[in-house]
Amino acid sequence: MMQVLFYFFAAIILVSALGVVLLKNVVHSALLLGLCLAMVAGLYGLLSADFLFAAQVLIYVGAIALLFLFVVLLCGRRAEFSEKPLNQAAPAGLLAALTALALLAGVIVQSKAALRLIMPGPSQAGASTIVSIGNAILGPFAVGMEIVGFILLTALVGAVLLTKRSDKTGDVKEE
Amino acid sequence: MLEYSPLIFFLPLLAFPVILFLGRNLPAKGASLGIGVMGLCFFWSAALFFNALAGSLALPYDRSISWFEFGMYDVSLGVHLDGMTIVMLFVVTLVSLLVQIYSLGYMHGDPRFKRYYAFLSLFTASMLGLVLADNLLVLFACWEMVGLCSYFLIGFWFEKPEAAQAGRKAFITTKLGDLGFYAGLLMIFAVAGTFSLSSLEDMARSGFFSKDLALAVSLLLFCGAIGKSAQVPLFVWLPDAMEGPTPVSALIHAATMVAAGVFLVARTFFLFEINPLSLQIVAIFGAVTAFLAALMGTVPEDIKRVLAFSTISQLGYMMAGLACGGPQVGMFHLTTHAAFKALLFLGAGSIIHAVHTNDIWKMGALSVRMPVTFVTFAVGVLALSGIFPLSGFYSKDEILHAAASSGNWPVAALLFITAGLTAYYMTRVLVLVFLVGAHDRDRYAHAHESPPVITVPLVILAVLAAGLGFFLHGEERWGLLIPARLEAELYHIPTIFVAAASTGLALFGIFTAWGIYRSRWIDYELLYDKLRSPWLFLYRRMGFDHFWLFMVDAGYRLSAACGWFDYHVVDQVFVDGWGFMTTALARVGGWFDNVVIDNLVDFWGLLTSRLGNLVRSTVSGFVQSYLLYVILGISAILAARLYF
Amino acid sequence: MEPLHYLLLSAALFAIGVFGAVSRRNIISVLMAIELMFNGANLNLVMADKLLHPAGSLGQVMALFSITIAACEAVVGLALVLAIYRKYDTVFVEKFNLLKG
Repeated sequence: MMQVLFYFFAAIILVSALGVVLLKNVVHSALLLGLCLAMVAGLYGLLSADFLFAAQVLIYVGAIALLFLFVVLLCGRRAEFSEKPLNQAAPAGLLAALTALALLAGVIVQSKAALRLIMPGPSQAGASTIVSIGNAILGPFAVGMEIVGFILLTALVGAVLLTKRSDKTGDVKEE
Repeated sequence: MLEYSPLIFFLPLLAFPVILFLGRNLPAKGASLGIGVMGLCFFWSAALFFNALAGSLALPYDRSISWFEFGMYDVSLGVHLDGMTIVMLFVVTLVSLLVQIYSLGYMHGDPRFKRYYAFLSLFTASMLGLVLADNLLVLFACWEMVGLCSYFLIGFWFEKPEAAQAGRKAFITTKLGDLGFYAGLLMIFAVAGTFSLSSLEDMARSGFFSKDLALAVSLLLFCGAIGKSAQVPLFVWLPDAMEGPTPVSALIHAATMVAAGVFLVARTFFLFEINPLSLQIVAIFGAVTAFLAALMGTVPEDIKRVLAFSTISQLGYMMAGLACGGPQVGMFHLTTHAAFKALLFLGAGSIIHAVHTNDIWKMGALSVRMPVTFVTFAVGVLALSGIFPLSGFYSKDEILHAAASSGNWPVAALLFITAGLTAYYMTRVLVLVFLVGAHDRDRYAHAHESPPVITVPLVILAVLAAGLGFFLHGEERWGLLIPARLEAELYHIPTIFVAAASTGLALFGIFTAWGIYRSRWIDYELLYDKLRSPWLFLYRRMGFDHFWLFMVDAGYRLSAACGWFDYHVVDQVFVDGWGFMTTALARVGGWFDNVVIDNLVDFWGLLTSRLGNLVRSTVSGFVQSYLLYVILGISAILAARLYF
Repeated sequence: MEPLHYLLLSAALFAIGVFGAVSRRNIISVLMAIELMFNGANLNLVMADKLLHPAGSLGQVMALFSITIAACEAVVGLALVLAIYRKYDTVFVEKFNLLKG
């Protein structure tokens, strides 16, 4: 059952991801991105990472994908959707992607023996990871959490500043 | 009284610019200031003089301030007063004062009256500075200043080409002598390291100067004296200097400036006396000058020329006297000569003022018209001739006595002959001007006695010319001022013998001249016909002028030859050849530079730019290409970690 | 061999993201591709956590941080896209060549 679900999810992920990078229409790309991210959330669920599942759905699917859709709707033009979606560096990009894939796959396949040794049994079903994540975040990773929070704040302020309407010289006005 | 003696120099020096720039507003166009200052200086000097005669002054007196220092040397600026200085101060201020008063009448109405008095003040200041100087450098500076003033005043009437040329001639000729003086100064400083006269005298007494060195130095200094005091062979400028105003001739070219050479030799006598040979040379120069000038003085028709030759002759006397008898003898003659020669010149000026000509053949019978001038002039003539008891007798007698007792027979003989010649030519002038019938009726009719401003100085000078010798002579008077230096007398010759001989020769000269020109026992026109060629020889100053012209010409030719050599050989062969070689080498270097070096530089530039373009093409500004590089780079690192 | 497939899936997702990031002309698509790369990496993190650290959840914490950073990235990136779009009036990356050497 789990395996069937995994392959189902994996197939959708791959197809939708390819759709994201290949489709002409950016609106479709953004919608497919939401689908893809939702399927990744499904995989988290399969791996019994329930908190991450929730975070993925809320942040990625709920926030980021939607944000993309908004931006597409703000900046997109129908005329541009009909132009070809890839640039002239696409073959090089394909080469780079294949190289990266080959190398990563190589690493993974090389580590197959080691992975087999520590292959876990099915994890403790039903046990939530929230407690351990909470302990980790407020324990050894407290500093990291604070830094991430600070980065979030910075990003927030930066985004507000960047998207504010400014005059031609480009400097920011108080409103 | 001694402390303020530098003011005697500074007052006339200050008077010079004041008269020159403000004279227009002063009474009598500045002459009042000049005469006033000079009167002050004269009374001061006279006070010094009589106090010194009374022996109530602490002499010598030195006062100096440091002028400049360099290295270990220190050159001072100061005064040195001793008997000699005070005598000179007295003489210079006296003659200058009288000449300035006299000039009031003589120069009356001259368009450059103010400038004349300014120059007289400057000249007097320089001369006083020369006399007062306590070191040779200051003395040399003043020496050149009097030369400059002499140049200005000879060429005072520069509209006349003769005057302008005479000024130049005087300046250049004396500079020839100053060259030697300057070389002597440098030599002294190089050897002794000081210019101070008293230090040098101490050194000389302690045997610092070897005999040869002393000979060289003293003869170089004597070169300056030859130029300034118009000795053979550089005397040629003095007769021409008579182109200047007559009072100037009296002051500068008879009484004071030309005596500066004599004064210099007397001042540095301690150098001359080290080596008897240098004294011998000075004596010979002096005697020859005295004799030749006296000979030349017998022919001119210009009254001032006669007096000029007489001055040269008497300067030769002084030199010979210095050399044979020391400063005491030479300076004595200088003093008396200043009085009677100034008198004669001023008298001549009075005559010229009356008849408007210098030519004695156009005068005559003036004794009637100008009695005061006649009497004073006659006193001057007799004093110069050395007739007892006028001053010339005493001073000339001393010189002749010194020459005779030193055993210097040729010198003594020349001086004795000169004594006779002197009397002859002076009597000639006296007779032709005053005592024979008038040659030129017109001029005679217009001649008249000069105003008191001219005759009063004449009378004063006549009194001095008559009495100075008698008043000053003797060890207790003159010896107090200037002590005797040369003790050794080779031969003892009775004074009365010398006096008798000189007086006899003088009387013989007077008698001859009287006979030729007054009584006409011999017809002088006939005499001139017979003696035409020697007369011409003398008239042309024995060819000395031609000699110098020839020398100048030779110098010109030499420098032309040097110039030719310079241009054709040094310039064209060496300099230009070197330049040609350099340009040829530079062309080769330039070719190498252009072809090899430049192309190398260009090559590197090109290489860099091509490489730069190559690298630049990767920086496309295309963000994704950078991402591509990043991914490829990380892949390469990963691959290296995995497989190598 | 399920864990291996997870890992291969994450690698594939990452590679697709790389291709998209390098090749797409539309800058919004480029940002989407970058999100895909993030997701590949997160999946890998979670799986590696399961394999290497079954008792704890350190990998999940890492993934959580990563998601947060990705959110920041997306926000700032999209804000930049908006600013650039206002300036250049286009979303095609090849027009943004101010840095061309």
